[in-house]
Amino acid sequence: MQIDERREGQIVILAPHGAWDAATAPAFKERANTLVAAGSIRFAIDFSHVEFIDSSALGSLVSLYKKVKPTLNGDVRLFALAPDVHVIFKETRLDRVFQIVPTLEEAIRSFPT
Amino acid sequence: MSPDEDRGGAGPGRRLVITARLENLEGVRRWMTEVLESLRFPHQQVFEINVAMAEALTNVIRHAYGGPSDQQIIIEASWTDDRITISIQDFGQKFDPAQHGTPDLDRPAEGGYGMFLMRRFMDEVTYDLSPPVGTIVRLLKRRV
Repeated sequence: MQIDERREGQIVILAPHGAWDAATAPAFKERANTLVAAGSIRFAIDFSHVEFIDSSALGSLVSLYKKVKPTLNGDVRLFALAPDVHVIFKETRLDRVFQIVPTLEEAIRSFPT
Repeated sequence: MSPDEDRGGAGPGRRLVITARLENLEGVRRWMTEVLESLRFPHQQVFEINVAMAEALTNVIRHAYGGPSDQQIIIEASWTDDRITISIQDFGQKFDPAQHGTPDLDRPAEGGYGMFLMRRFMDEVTYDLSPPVGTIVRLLKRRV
């Protein structure tokens, strides 16, 4: 799974490409774990290149959220979700856990300064 | 993957045989999408059926077969004017759906959403435990 990575200040922007399923979710989890271990706690996940997700993707995102939110005061934002992908977050009510916004700019602005 | 084998003169449908490996999920998705688009299922329903398929196949690979292996999974899709039924047959450990409850949606979890999404996205999900070995999961979706 290709995962592009860049930074805006203290925010890490990760852009997975293609299908985010049981075959590829471990790669995302490993990359996120490495970044958290190196001190990153603010993440914006770019869904503009994500073509498909299933519960494995949700699991890898919740894993990241649980690592950074409760104890490190970090957070995870999601942006540029296709309507079908957004439905999964609504059905599982994870749209109440993750702040989901349309654009990168809004994701960056949503973090406290 | 072995696509579109002879289904022995059954009604309209297609058949795909794969080995129980996660890297085959992508190919199954492409195959399923082609079938569903030929039947004029709308994009959102194609996505939902593909999610249910991914969850069912991942369960088979992880639980029925205990991890990736070269054992077979047989996928059959059959349809009528307004619905498609997809059966997924494995030859591993029998799967007891009663042991997998509904997740607590007020507490985000790293797992447990798979069967929930299958039931939310399909009109019917049934488990046939009658074969001597393995399980057949049947997924039914009516076209909107």
